[in-house]
Amino acid sequence: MIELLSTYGGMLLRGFVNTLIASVIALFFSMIIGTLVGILQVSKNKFAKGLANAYVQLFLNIPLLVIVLFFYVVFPMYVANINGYTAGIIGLTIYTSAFIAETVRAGIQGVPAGQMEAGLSTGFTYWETMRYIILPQAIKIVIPPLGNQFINLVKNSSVFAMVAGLDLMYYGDLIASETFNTFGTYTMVALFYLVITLPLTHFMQYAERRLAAKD
Amino acid sequence: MIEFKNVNKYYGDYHALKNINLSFKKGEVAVVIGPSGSGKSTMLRCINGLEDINDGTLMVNNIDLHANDTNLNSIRKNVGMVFQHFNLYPHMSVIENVTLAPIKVLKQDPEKARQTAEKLLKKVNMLDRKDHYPSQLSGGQQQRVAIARGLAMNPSVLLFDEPTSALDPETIDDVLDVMKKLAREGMTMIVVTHEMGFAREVGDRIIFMAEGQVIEDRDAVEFYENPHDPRAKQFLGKIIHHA
Repeated sequence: MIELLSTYGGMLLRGFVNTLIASVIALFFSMIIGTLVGILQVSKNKFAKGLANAYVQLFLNIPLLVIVLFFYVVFPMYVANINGYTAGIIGLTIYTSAFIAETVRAGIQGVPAGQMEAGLSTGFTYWETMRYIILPQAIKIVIPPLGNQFINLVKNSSVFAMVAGLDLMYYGDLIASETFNTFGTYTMVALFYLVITLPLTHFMQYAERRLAAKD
Repeated sequence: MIEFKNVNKYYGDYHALKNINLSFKKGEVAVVIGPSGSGKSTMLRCINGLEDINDGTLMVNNIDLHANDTNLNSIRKNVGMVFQHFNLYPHMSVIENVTLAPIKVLKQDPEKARQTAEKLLKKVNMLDRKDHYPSQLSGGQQQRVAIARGLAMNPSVLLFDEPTSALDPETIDDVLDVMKKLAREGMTMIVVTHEMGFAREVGDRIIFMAEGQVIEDRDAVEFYENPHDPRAKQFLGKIIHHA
């Protein structure tokens, strides 16, 4: 294993950094899209609600690999040329945003209906009530399942390997096929994933405790 | 200041309010009673637009609530509501619950809002708990905070939707005492409740509803001593036996 690291450590590290960057970007945008779509799913506007529901149903029920391949193979044929890494980030963002939207929707619906009524009856608009009263409470409900989505996102980024995505898994495959040291290589790859996911798990647990302590 | 004219409301096929004609004057304390499913809460919730009406007119402070161009938010600023389950904001302290709407909706200066809130919390005997969170309070305490929250908007009328029904018996009186105090100060109040003691002591009139209709609408003491309608007699008999 030492030998593996001294020769291929640089490659693994590059894959690790790419996976980390891709995860952060996909997490950032899937949070924004997912939160918006989740809020629209419970809105009173039928059109917005229908659109949001269709988005969620579509991307929740298609395998991530199909979405990523669509952006890697089909998208360049009609729109613009993008590499596997970009296609992977876009696919991962869209896919994860559907799960986050569902989580956010459930969180909002988990806040008792009386809270919306209380907000409205003191003169707040629907959106103001969302902002000051509903969402701050929904966050607490949403944090634990959201943490699971974040972990899944990091692990799911390994499909990048199928589209030459230059991520940790991609380099892992490369090294394994060059060295035939599959045990050593995939063990290293697994450890590198844990370097991202374990601190993330602990951070989410910490955030959960902090929010719970407030009331 | 509030006037129902031939108001009807349906939930699908269910006729929840049948041809309601009612008017409420400034400074009046009206108590609405009736068996469950009689439409009393629905009627109350129409006044601040939490429920929409299907036909007829409902005027609140000379604004037609049902008109398309009516801004419900501007009406709700003047119509406070106290709920059966208090609906305090659990993520905010008592003082924050009371000051939130004055600061964000009325754009009051936070310091001024805080001073007003402290005065109101003193009035409902909750000033010593101003930094507590709702989960640390009993039901009766939460309801008194909810009353202060409603008063903080300086509404022209305060609606009470069964304010003591979810409370432990020993905390009911604290809430009723606050409500009586408000009534004596001249607050306009419409109260859906089964508390006949409250109705008799400070109520100006009693509105008895059944099956979506207003059956009786009379002076509180008169009604209490001599209800006309057999349903009213029966209902009164039941709740008094329980008390």
